[in-house]
Amino acid sequence: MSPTATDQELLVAAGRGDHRAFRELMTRHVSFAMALALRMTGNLPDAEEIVQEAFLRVWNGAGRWQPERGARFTTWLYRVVLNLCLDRRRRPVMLPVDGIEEPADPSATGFDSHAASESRRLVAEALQSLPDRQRMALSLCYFGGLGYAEAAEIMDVTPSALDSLLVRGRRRLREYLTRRGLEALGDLV
Amino acid sequence: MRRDEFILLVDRHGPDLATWPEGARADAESLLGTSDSARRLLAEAQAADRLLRGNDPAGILTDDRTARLVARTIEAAGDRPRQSGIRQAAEAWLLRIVLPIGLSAAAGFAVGLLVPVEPAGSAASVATVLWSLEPAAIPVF
Repeated sequence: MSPTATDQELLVAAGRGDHRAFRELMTRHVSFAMALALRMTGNLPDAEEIVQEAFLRVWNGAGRWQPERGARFTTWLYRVVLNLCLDRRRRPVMLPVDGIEEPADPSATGFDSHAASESRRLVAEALQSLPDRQRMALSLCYFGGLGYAEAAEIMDVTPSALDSLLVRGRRRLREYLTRRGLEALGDLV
Repeated sequence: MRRDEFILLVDRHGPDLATWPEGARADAESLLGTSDSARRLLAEAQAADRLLRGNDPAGILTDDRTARLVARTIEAAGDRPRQSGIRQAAEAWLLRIVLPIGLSAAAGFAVGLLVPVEPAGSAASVATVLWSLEPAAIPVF
């Protein structure tokens, strides 16, 4: 299967049991899916489980996937990831944000590393403090860089409803971070 | 421009005034020239934006970790029994056609059990009996 094949062509091939097509499809989209799951859950092991499950559903359902008119594969994939994230959040036990494994940065001094870790923790906490749909909207648009039309389709809301979620989400984040002593932390970072 | 309008624009367009619609930007600059609280709010929004953009939770992802996830998933896909195309089509057919028909039949059977049976020789039809019932007495499915 050519690396220039469309997602649709890869899906058809995966539906016939072509593992290479499935690998190409996953390689193409796993980074965004992981980023999305990580922003939603704040937890790396959970995010990995969710993304794995989402792609296994792709594998299992590839043979019967029928795109709605004009729908993209990614719209469906990200919707599955978001729904799995919501299911995961409804579980009573959540691993703490501390569980996130951070890559070692050989250039960072101990102080820099501590400041970066605190900043990351603060942002993760701020995101987790948002209502689910505001966090979804920000994860897709603010962090993920998706356009309004695609994000609204993924979330199954109108663009104006998405705009409202983004405005309220940004406001809550700003207020949360300000309340948590942003200015003092800003001096560190 | 009122302060609440300014706050809404900050939260809609972000703290970089260069990205705002031109008319709104000019009004905002006028407000910033006279309002300490507007300047403070903009500074807070700029600091929050810097912090957020510099600390995306996804920033901890590494290529190695992602590659391992892909490998694990491919392996799991190989282990997971995969439904054949024929079986998938059969399941879809069952869900779309057979199941609704079965449910309708079951509902009809249930109505038949719940509706009082008229004595033999009565001219009243089942439809007449149904329509003569009080709304609250009609079972809801």
